[in-house]
Amino acid sequence: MSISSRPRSRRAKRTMIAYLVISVLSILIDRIYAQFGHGVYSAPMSLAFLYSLLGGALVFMLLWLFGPEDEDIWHSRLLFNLYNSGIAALMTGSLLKGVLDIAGTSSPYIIVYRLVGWLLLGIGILGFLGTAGKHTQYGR
Amino acid sequence: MRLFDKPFRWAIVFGLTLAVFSAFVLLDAFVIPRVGTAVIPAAAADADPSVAGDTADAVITATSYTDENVSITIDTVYVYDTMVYVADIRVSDASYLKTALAKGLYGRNIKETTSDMAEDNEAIFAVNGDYYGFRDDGYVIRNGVLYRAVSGGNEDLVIDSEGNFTIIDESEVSAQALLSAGAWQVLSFGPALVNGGEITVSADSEVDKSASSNPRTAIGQVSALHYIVIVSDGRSDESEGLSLLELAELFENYGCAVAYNLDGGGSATMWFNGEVVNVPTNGRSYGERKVSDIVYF
Repeated sequence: MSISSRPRSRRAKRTMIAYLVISVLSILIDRIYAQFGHGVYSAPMSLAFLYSLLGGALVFMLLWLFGPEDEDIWHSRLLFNLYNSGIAALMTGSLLKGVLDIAGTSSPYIIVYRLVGWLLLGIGILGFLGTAGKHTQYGR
Repeated sequence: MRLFDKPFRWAIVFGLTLAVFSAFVLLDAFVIPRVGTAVIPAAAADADPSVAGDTADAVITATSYTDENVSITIDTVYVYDTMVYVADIRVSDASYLKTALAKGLYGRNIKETTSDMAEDNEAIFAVNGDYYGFRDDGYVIRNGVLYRAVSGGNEDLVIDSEGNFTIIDESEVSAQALLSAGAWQVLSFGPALVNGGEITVSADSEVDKSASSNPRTAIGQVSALHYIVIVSDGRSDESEGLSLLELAELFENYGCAVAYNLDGGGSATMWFNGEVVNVPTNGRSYGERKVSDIVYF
Protein backbone atom coordinates (compact mmCIF):
# COMPACT_ATOMS: atom_id res chain seq x y z
CA MET A 1 0.00 0.00 0.00
CA SER A 2 1.48 3.35 -0.94
CA ILE A 3 1.69 6.25 1.46
CA SER A 4 -0.73 8.32 -0.57
CA SER A 5 -3.50 5.76 -0.71
CA ARG A 6 -3.42 4.10 2.71
CA PRO A 7 -5.92 5.13 5.39
CA ARG A 8 -4.67 7.86 7.70
CA SER A 9 -5.46 8.87 11.20
CA ARG A 10 -8.27 11.38 11.38
CA ARG A 11 -7.18 12.43 14.84
CA ALA A 12 -3.69 13.29 13.56
CA LYS A 13 -5.25 15.38 10.82
CA ARG A 14 -7.62 17.14 13.22
CA THR A 15 -4.77 17.85 15.65
CA MET A 16 -2.54 19.11 12.86
CA ILE A 17 -5.23 21.53 11.69
CA ALA A 18 -5.88 22.68 15.24
CA TYR A 19 -2.17 23.43 15.70
CA LEU A 20 -2.07 25.31 12.40
CA VAL A 21 -4.98 27.47 13.57
CA ILE A 22 -3.25 28.06 16.93
CA SER A 23 -0.05 29.06 15.07
CA VAL A 24 -1.96 31.62 13.02
CA LEU A 25 -3.68 32.93 16.16
CA SER A 26 -0.30 33.28 17.87
CA ILE A 27 1.04 35.31 14.94
CA LEU A 28 -2.09 37.47 15.02
CA ILE A 29 -1.73 38.09 18.76
CA ASP A 30 1.86 39.20 18.18
CA ARG A 31 0.87 41.55 15.35
CA ILE A 32 -2.08 43.01 17.27
CA TYR A 33 0.03 43.45 20.40
CA ALA A 34 2.69 45.23 18.33
CA GLN A 35 0.06 47.79 17.28
CA PHE A 36 -0.34 48.82 20.92
CA GLY A 37 3.30 48.41 21.92
CA HIS A 38 4.66 51.65 20.39
CA GLY A 39 7.11 49.70 18.29
CA VAL A 40 8.32 47.59 21.21
CA TYR A 41 8.54 43.92 20.32
CA SER A 42 9.64 40.74 21.97
CA ALA A 43 11.26 37.74 20.32
CA PRO A 44 9.61 35.24 22.69
CA MET A 45 6.19 36.58 21.69
CA SER A 46 7.01 36.86 17.98
CA LEU A 47 8.38 33.30 17.87
CA ALA A 48 5.84 31.62 20.15
CA PHE A 49 4.02 30.27 17.10
CA LEU A 50 7.00 27.99 16.38
CA TYR A 51 6.05 25.73 19.31
CA SER A 52 2.66 24.99 17.80
CA LEU A 53 3.91 24.98 14.21
CA LEU A 54 6.95 22.73 14.67
CA GLY A 55 6.04 20.85 17.83
CA GLY A 56 2.41 20.57 16.90
CA ALA A 57 1.42 20.93 13.26
CA LEU A 58 4.63 19.44 11.83
CA VAL A 59 4.72 16.48 14.23
CA PHE A 60 1.08 15.61 13.63
CA MET A 61 1.47 16.09 9.89
CA LEU A 62 4.26 13.50 9.97
CA LEU A 63 2.08 11.22 12.07
CA TRP A 64 -0.77 11.78 9.66
CA LEU A 65 1.46 10.93 6.69
CA PHE A 66 3.58 8.16 8.17
CA GLY A 67 2.09 7.24 11.56
CA PRO A 68 -0.26 4.49 12.66
CA GLU A 69 -3.31 4.10 10.52
CA ASP A 70 -5.78 3.80 13.37
CA GLU A 71 -7.17 6.53 15.57
CA ASP A 72 -4.82 5.65 18.40
CA ILE A 73 -1.91 7.64 17.00
CA TRP A 74 -0.18 8.19 20.35
CA HIS A 75 -1.12 4.72 21.66
CA SER A 76 -2.26 6.29 24.91
CA ARG A 77 -4.63 9.21 25.39
CA LEU A 78 -2.76 10.22 28.53
CA LEU A 79 0.58 10.45 26.71
CA PHE A 80 -1.11 12.32 23.86
CA ASN A 81 -2.54 14.76 26.41
CA LEU A 82 0.80 15.19 28.15
CA TYR A 83 2.54 16.01 24.88
CA ASN A 84 -0.08 18.58 23.87
CA SER A 85 -0.04 20.07 27.38
CA GLY A 86 3.72 20.48 27.10
CA ILE A 87 3.31 22.44 23.88
CA ALA A 88 0.55 24.52 25.50
CA ALA A 89 2.70 25.32 28.55
CA LEU A 90 5.73 26.30 26.45
CA MET A 91 3.66 28.45 24.14
CA THR A 92 1.78 30.18 26.94
CA GLY A 93 5.05 30.83 28.76
CA SER A 94 6.55 32.31 25.62
CA LEU A 95 3.58 34.62 25.03
CA LEU A 96 3.59 35.73 28.67
CA LYS A 97 7.34 36.36 28.52
CA GLY A 98 6.61 38.57 25.52
CA VAL A 99 3.95 40.52 27.40
CA LEU A 100 6.36 41.07 30.30
CA ASP A 101 9.27 41.96 27.99
CA ILE A 102 7.20 44.54 26.15
CA ALA A 103 6.06 46.06 29.43
CA GLY A 104 9.71 46.18 30.54
CA THR A 105 9.34 43.81 33.44
CA SER A 106 10.00 40.19 34.32
CA SER A 107 8.64 37.37 36.45
CA PRO A 108 10.38 34.62 38.39
CA TYR A 109 7.55 32.29 37.42
CA ILE A 110 8.22 32.15 33.66
CA ILE A 111 10.72 29.35 34.29
CA VAL A 112 7.83 27.22 35.59
CA TYR A 113 6.27 27.15 32.11
CA ARG A 114 9.54 25.97 30.61
CA LEU A 115 10.16 23.32 33.24
CA VAL A 116 6.61 21.95 33.14
CA GLY A 117 6.42 22.28 29.36
CA TRP A 118 9.62 20.40 28.59
CA LEU A 119 8.86 17.82 31.28
CA LEU A 120 5.42 17.03 29.85
CA LEU A 121 6.78 17.11 26.32
CA GLY A 122 9.58 14.73 27.30
CA ILE A 123 7.22 12.30 29.03
CA GLY A 124 4.91 12.42 26.02
CA ILE A 125 7.71 11.72 23.53
CA LEU A 126 9.42 9.02 25.61
CA GLY A 127 6.07 7.41 26.30
CA PHE A 128 5.22 7.49 22.62
CA LEU A 129 8.54 5.93 21.64
CA GLY A 130 8.23 3.32 24.40
CA THR A 131 4.72 2.29 23.52
CA ALA A 132 5.52 2.45 19.81
CA GLY A 133 8.31 -0.10 20.47
CA LYS A 134 5.88 -2.37 22.31
CA HIS A 135 3.33 -2.14 19.55
CA THR A 136 6.02 -3.01 17.00
CA GLN A 137 7.35 -5.83 19.19
CA TYR A 138 3.94 -7.45 19.56
CA GLY A 139 3.17 -7.06 15.91
CA ARG A 140 0.49 -4.41 16.19
CA MET B 1 -5.64 7.96 35.29
CA ARG B 2 -8.85 6.58 33.78
CA LEU B 3 -10.39 9.86 34.89
CA PHE B 4 -8.59 11.53 31.98
CA ASP B 5 -9.43 8.90 29.39
CA LYS B 6 -12.63 10.77 28.54
CA PRO B 7 -12.18 13.23 25.67
CA PHE B 8 -11.39 16.82 26.69
CA ARG B 9 -11.39 16.12 30.43
CA TRP B 10 -7.61 16.47 30.65
CA ALA B 11 -7.69 19.49 28.32
CA ILE B 12 -10.26 21.21 30.54
CA VAL B 13 -8.37 20.53 33.78
CA PHE B 14 -4.95 21.44 32.37
CA GLY B 15 -6.32 24.46 30.51
CA LEU B 16 -7.95 25.81 33.66
CA THR B 17 -4.77 25.24 35.66
CA LEU B 18 -2.73 27.03 33.01
CA ALA B 19 -5.19 29.93 32.91
CA VAL B 20 -5.30 30.36 36.68
CA PHE B 21 -1.51 30.19 36.99
CA SER B 22 -1.07 32.67 34.13
CA ALA B 23 -3.53 35.06 35.78
CA PHE B 24 -1.49 34.81 38.97
CA VAL B 25 1.77 35.47 37.09
CA LEU B 26 0.29 38.60 35.47
CA LEU B 27 -1.20 39.85 38.73
CA ASP B 28 2.10 39.24 40.50
CA ALA B 29 4.01 41.11 37.81
CA PHE B 30 1.68 44.08 37.42
CA VAL B 31 -0.60 44.41 40.42
CA ILE B 32 0.18 42.59 43.66
CA PRO B 33 2.35 44.84 45.88
CA ARG B 34 5.28 43.26 47.72
CA VAL B 35 6.78 45.47 50.37
CA GLY B 36 10.50 45.28 51.05
CA THR B 37 12.58 47.12 53.60
CA ALA B 38 11.16 50.35 55.00
CA VAL B 39 12.73 53.57 53.80
CA ILE B 40 14.23 56.32 55.93
CA PRO B 41 12.50 59.47 54.66
CA ALA B 42 14.79 61.75 52.70
CA ALA B 43 14.13 64.72 54.96
CA ALA B 44 15.33 62.80 58.02
CA ALA B 45 18.58 61.95 56.29
CA ASP B 46 19.33 65.50 55.25
CA ALA B 47 21.73 67.69 57.14
CA ASP B 48 19.41 70.68 57.16
CA PRO B 49 15.84 69.72 56.33
CA SER B 50 14.50 73.05 57.56
CA VAL B 51 16.08 74.76 54.58
CA ALA B 52 14.85 72.27 51.99
CA GLY B 53 11.33 73.05 50.89
CA ASP B 54 11.26 76.34 52.80
CA THR B 55 9.56 78.49 50.21
CA ALA B 56 8.78 81.45 52.43
CA ASP B 57 11.34 83.74 50.79
CA ALA B 58 11.16 82.18 47.37
CA VAL B 59 10.38 84.01 44.16
CA ILE B 60 8.07 81.79 42.18
CA THR B 61 6.70 82.23 38.66
CA ALA B 62 4.94 79.81 36.34
CA THR B 63 8.29 78.62 35.01
CA SER B 64 10.82 79.45 37.68
CA TYR B 65 11.67 79.18 41.33
CA THR B 66 14.40 81.00 43.17
CA ASP B 67 15.37 81.07 46.80
CA GLU B 68 18.75 81.38 48.46
CA ASN B 69 19.49 77.67 47.96
CA VAL B 70 17.61 76.50 44.90
CA SER B 71 17.18 78.05 41.46
CA ILE B 72 15.00 76.37 38.85
CA THR B 73 14.11 77.65 35.38
CA ILE B 74 11.94 75.65 33.00
CA ASP B 75 12.06 76.28 29.26
CA THR B 76 9.72 74.72 26.75
CA VAL B 77 11.19 74.18 23.30
CA TYR B 78 9.92 72.46 20.17
CA VAL B 79 12.66 70.45 18.50
CA TYR B 80 12.73 67.23 16.45
CA ASP B 81 8.92 67.59 16.06
CA THR B 82 8.72 67.16 19.80
CA MET B 83 7.68 69.26 22.76
CA VAL B 84 10.62 69.30 25.15
CA TYR B 85 10.70 70.67 28.68
CA VAL B 86 14.12 71.66 29.96
CA ALA B 87 14.73 72.47 33.60
CA ASP B 88 17.96 74.25 34.51
CA ILE B 89 18.57 73.68 38.21
CA ARG B 90 21.25 75.05 40.54
CA VAL B 91 21.45 74.22 44.23
CA SER B 92 23.70 75.41 47.03
CA ASP B 93 24.14 71.95 48.51
CA ALA B 94 23.94 68.37 47.22
CA SER B 95 21.30 67.53 49.81
CA TYR B 96 18.74 69.40 47.69
CA LEU B 97 18.96 66.69 45.04
CA LYS B 98 16.89 63.85 46.43
CA THR B 99 14.95 60.76 45.54
CA ALA B 100 11.79 59.32 47.04
CA LEU B 101 9.98 56.01 46.82
CA ALA B 102 6.25 55.62 46.33
CA LYS B 103 4.41 55.61 49.66
CA GLY B 104 7.81 55.82 51.34
CA LEU B 105 8.25 52.08 50.87
CA TYR B 106 10.66 49.92 48.95
CA GLY B 107 9.08 47.01 47.07
CA ARG B 108 7.54 45.71 43.91
CA ASN B 109 4.33 47.20 42.50
CA ILE B 110 4.26 49.93 45.12
CA LYS B 111 3.27 52.90 43.03
CA GLU B 112 2.17 56.52 43.19
CA THR B 113 2.00 59.30 40.66
CA THR B 114 5.00 61.60 40.42
CA SER B 115 2.69 64.42 41.58
CA ASP B 116 1.61 62.62 44.73
CA MET B 117 5.17 61.67 45.65
CA ALA B 118 6.35 65.22 44.97
CA GLU B 119 3.66 66.68 47.20
CA ASP B 120 4.21 64.08 49.93
CA ASN B 121 7.89 65.07 50.01
CA GLU B 122 7.27 68.83 49.74
CA ALA B 123 9.24 68.99 46.54
CA ILE B 124 9.62 72.09 44.42
CA PHE B 125 10.41 70.14 41.26
CA ALA B 126 10.22 66.42 40.47
CA VAL B 127 10.50 63.92 37.65
CA ASN B 128 9.83 60.20 37.56
CA GLY B 129 12.78 57.97 38.44
CA ASP B 130 13.87 54.58 37.12
CA TYR B 131 10.71 52.61 38.04
CA TYR B 132 12.88 50.10 39.90
CA GLY B 133 9.79 48.37 41.34
CA PHE B 134 8.72 47.04 37.96
CA ARG B 135 11.79 44.83 37.73
CA ASP B 136 13.54 42.32 39.93
CA ASP B 137 17.09 43.38 39.12
CA GLY B 138 19.17 46.53 38.86
CA TYR B 139 20.84 48.25 41.80
CA VAL B 140 18.72 50.41 44.05
CA ILE B 141 20.50 52.82 46.38
CA ARG B 142 18.44 55.75 47.59
CA ASN B 143 19.46 58.45 50.02
CA GLY B 144 22.41 56.33 51.14
CA VAL B 145 20.37 53.15 51.74
CA LEU B 146 21.00 50.02 49.70
CA TYR B 147 17.75 48.30 48.80
CA ARG B 148 18.68 46.00 45.95
CA ALA B 149 22.07 44.57 45.07
CA VAL B 150 20.99 42.33 42.18
CA SER B 151 22.82 43.19 38.98
CA GLY B 152 20.79 43.56 35.83
CA GLY B 153 23.91 44.32 33.80
CA ASN B 154 22.70 47.89 33.34
CA GLU B 155 24.59 51.13 33.05
CA ASP B 156 23.74 53.02 36.23
CA LEU B 157 23.82 56.64 37.25
CA VAL B 158 25.62 57.11 40.56
CA ILE B 159 25.08 60.36 42.43
CA ASP B 160 27.53 60.79 45.27
CA SER B 161 27.09 62.78 48.48
CA GLU B 162 28.63 65.83 46.76
CA GLY B 163 25.96 65.67 44.09
CA ASN B 164 28.33 64.59 41.35
CA PHE B 165 27.29 62.14 38.62
CA THR B 166 29.21 59.10 37.46
CA ILE B 167 28.24 56.29 35.13
CA ILE B 168 29.03 52.72 36.17
CA ASP B 169 28.42 49.28 34.70
CA GLU B 170 26.65 46.89 37.07
CA SER B 171 28.59 43.98 35.66
CA GLU B 172 31.84 45.59 36.76
CA VAL B 173 31.11 46.79 40.30
CA SER B 174 28.90 45.52 43.12
CA ALA B 175 26.22 47.61 44.79
CA GLN B 176 27.95 47.16 48.15
CA ALA B 177 31.18 48.54 46.68
CA LEU B 178 29.32 51.55 45.33
CA LEU B 179 27.74 52.21 48.70
CA SER B 180 31.12 51.89 50.44
CA ALA B 181 32.60 54.33 47.91
CA GLY B 182 30.02 56.94 48.87
CA ALA B 183 27.18 56.45 46.41
CA TRP B 184 24.16 58.34 47.72
CA GLN B 185 21.74 57.56 44.87
CA VAL B 186 21.98 54.86 42.22
CA LEU B 187 19.46 54.89 39.38
CA SER B 188 19.34 51.83 37.19
CA PHE B 189 17.69 52.33 33.81
CA GLY B 190 19.86 53.93 31.17
CA PRO B 191 21.60 54.05 28.95
CA ALA B 192 24.05 56.84 29.67
CA LEU B 193 23.51 59.58 27.10
CA VAL B 194 26.59 61.69 27.70
CA ASN B 195 29.73 60.79 29.62
CA GLY B 196 32.84 62.92 29.91
CA GLY B 197 31.12 65.51 27.72
CA GLU B 198 30.83 63.02 24.84
CA ILE B 199 27.64 61.50 23.47
CA THR B 200 27.62 57.78 24.26
CA VAL B 201 24.60 56.64 22.24
CA SER B 202 24.12 56.23 18.52
CA ALA B 203 21.13 56.42 16.18
CA ASP B 204 20.61 52.70 16.76
CA SER B 205 20.65 52.90 20.55
CA GLU B 206 17.45 52.02 22.29
CA VAL B 207 16.05 50.97 25.63
CA ASP B 208 15.73 47.24 25.08
CA LYS B 209 13.66 47.05 21.91
CA SER B 210 11.53 50.15 22.24
CA ALA B 211 10.63 52.43 19.40
CA SER B 212 13.03 55.18 18.42
CA SER B 213 10.77 58.07 19.30
CA ASN B 214 9.23 58.19 22.73
CA PRO B 215 8.37 60.37 25.67
CA ARG B 216 11.58 60.59 27.67
CA THR B 217 12.88 61.62 31.06
CA ALA B 218 16.57 62.20 31.60
CA ILE B 219 18.89 64.05 33.95
CA GLY B 220 22.33 65.54 33.41
CA GLN B 221 25.02 67.42 35.28
CA VAL B 222 26.64 70.52 33.83
CA SER B 223 29.02 71.26 36.69
CA ALA B 224 29.10 71.04 40.47
CA LEU B 225 25.53 71.48 41.80
CA HIS B 226 24.26 72.51 38.37
CA TYR B 227 21.86 70.12 36.65
CA ILE B 228 19.70 69.86 33.55
CA VAL B 229 16.52 67.75 33.59
CA ILE B 230 14.72 67.10 30.32
CA VAL B 231 11.29 65.58 29.75
CA SER B 232 9.84 65.19 26.28
CA ASP B 233 6.28 64.49 25.19
CA GLY B 234 5.70 61.81 22.58
CA ARG B 235 3.33 59.27 21.06
CA SER B 236 0.96 61.99 19.91
CA ASP B 237 0.23 63.93 16.73
CA GLU B 238 1.54 67.11 18.36
CA SER B 239 4.75 65.63 19.69
CA GLU B 240 6.54 62.72 18.09
CA GLY B 241 9.00 61.98 20.87
CA LEU B 242 12.77 61.84 21.01
CA SER B 243 15.26 59.16 20.09
CA LEU B 244 18.05 58.59 22.58
CA LEU B 245 20.50 60.23 20.23
CA GLU B 246 18.34 63.36 19.91
CA LEU B 247 18.01 63.45 23.69
CA ALA B 248 21.77 63.09 24.09
CA GLU B 249 22.36 65.93 21.60
CA LEU B 250 20.13 68.21 23.67
CA PHE B 251 22.13 67.47 26.81
CA GLU B 252 25.37 68.05 24.93
CA ASN B 253 24.04 71.39 23.70
CA TYR B 254 23.21 72.38 27.28
CA GLY B 255 26.81 71.64 28.26
CA CYS B 256 26.28 68.52 30.33
CA ALA B 257 29.33 66.45 31.22
CA VAL B 258 27.16 63.49 32.20
CA ALA B 259 23.56 62.71 31.24
CA TYR B 260 21.48 59.64 31.90
CA ASN B 261 18.19 58.30 30.55
CA LEU B 262 15.51 57.47 33.13
CA ASP B 263 12.24 55.60 32.68
CA GLY B 264 10.24 57.14 29.82
CA GLY B 265 7.18 56.28 27.80
CA GLY B 266 4.00 56.65 29.82
CA SER B 267 6.06 57.28 32.95
CA ALA B 268 7.68 60.49 31.66
CA THR B 269 6.45 63.23 33.96
CA MET B 270 7.79 66.62 35.00
CA TRP B 271 6.15 68.27 38.00
CA PHE B 272 6.82 71.82 39.16
CA ASN B 273 5.29 73.77 42.02
CA GLY B 274 2.06 71.79 42.20
CA GLU B 275 1.49 71.27 38.47
CA VAL B 276 2.41 68.66 35.92
CA VAL B 277 4.43 70.51 33.29
CA ASN B 278 4.39 68.06 30.39
CA VAL B 279 1.59 66.00 28.84
CA PRO B 280 2.10 62.41 30.06
CA THR B 281 0.60 59.76 27.82
CA ASN B 282 0.96 56.07 27.14
CA GLY B 283 -0.17 56.67 23.57
CA ARG B 284 -3.75 55.57 24.24
CA SER B 285 -4.82 57.88 27.02
CA TYR B 286 -3.48 60.97 28.72
CA GLY B 287 -2.60 61.25 32.38
CA GLU B 288 0.09 60.44 34.87
CA ARG B 289 1.20 56.86 35.29
CA LYS B 290 1.86 55.61 38.78
CA VAL B 291 5.55 54.81 39.21
CA SER B 292 7.90 53.53 41.89
CA ASP B 293 10.06 56.55 42.52
CA ILE B 294 10.95 60.14 41.78
CA VAL B 295 14.00 62.37 41.59
CA TYR B 296 13.24 65.74 43.12
CA PHE B 297 14.59 69.04 44.39
